[in-house]
Amino acid sequence: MTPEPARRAWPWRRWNAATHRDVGYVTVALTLAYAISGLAVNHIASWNPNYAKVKEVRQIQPLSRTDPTEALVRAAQAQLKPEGRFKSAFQPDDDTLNLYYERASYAVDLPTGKVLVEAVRPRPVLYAMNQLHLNAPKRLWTVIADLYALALLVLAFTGLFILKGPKGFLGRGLWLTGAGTAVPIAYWIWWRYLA
Amino acid sequence: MRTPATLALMILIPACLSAAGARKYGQPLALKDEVKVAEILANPDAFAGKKVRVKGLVTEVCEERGCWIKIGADKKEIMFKVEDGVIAFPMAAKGGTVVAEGTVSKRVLSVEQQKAMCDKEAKALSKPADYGKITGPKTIVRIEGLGAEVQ
Repeated sequence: MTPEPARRAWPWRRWNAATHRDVGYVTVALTLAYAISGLAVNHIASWNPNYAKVKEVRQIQPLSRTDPTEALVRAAQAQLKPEGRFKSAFQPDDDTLNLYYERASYAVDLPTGKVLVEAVRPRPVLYAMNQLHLNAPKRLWTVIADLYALALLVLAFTGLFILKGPKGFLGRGLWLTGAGTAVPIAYWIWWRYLA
Repeated sequence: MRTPATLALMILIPACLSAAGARKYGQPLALKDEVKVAEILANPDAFAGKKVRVKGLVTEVCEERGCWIKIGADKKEIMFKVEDGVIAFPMAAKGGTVVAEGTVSKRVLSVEQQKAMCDKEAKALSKPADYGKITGPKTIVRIEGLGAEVQ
């Protein structure tokens, strides 16, 4: 009678590594986008991660504050010769006329003729990354972002069990995972209760 | 069989057509009657806590997060504040015509509260607190935004 061949254990570690590898490939672009946007948005107090703003002060002839808004707009446009599509004009008070164009706005101080020109440009690529990171599009992007979050969970758990032995989770992995977990916990306790 | 180019056009053409109309943010507009911005600012107690619909120009946009706009009409402006992350107005909205709905809120900040806010801001920006602008209690009237359409 021939002995029954020993049943091989399911090679879960190989599947785990393959899952980690392939999910990693799929999510690498989003991970980079979210990481770069995260760095940019973290420092929002010291710079604007979405827009580059250029300010300029120009001088035109003073305009009469008693003229109707339409006449003031025409007179200011004649002197400023702004580029781009004119959107609208607004007077927040009797001394100020704001002109809004596609790519810039002009705040005219009527009595002095001083004009503050502000041109705002979205930062290429970074603006798109930030909008996606903050889920500005909503709708389908919410689903994609949820799937990405699930993929990150898969990456985190599968990453723990790729290697075995002294460099695996039960070796140095345990120490490093513990250290990484301790950082947010310790910071939260310090910030919430001690600081 | 449809080619990829045909499929791309089928997606892009409706997207371009919808982009040409009003851009919608947040909840759909539901109120019919409009209230003037000047009316709200002139008599905030009468409107506090009430849902209103206003129309005007977008005169300012929050540059950092798009979490507020200022709506101007008849030489008056009111802040339209939305919940962070729920609605984000782009800077391109500036100068556009907006119809917006939300709840009017009125807050009176005491001198102490304003100083505390100054301290918080100074700490966040790592600069000394500036109490120079505080002259007494300050009344803040704004609209807690629910939805808007910008043309």
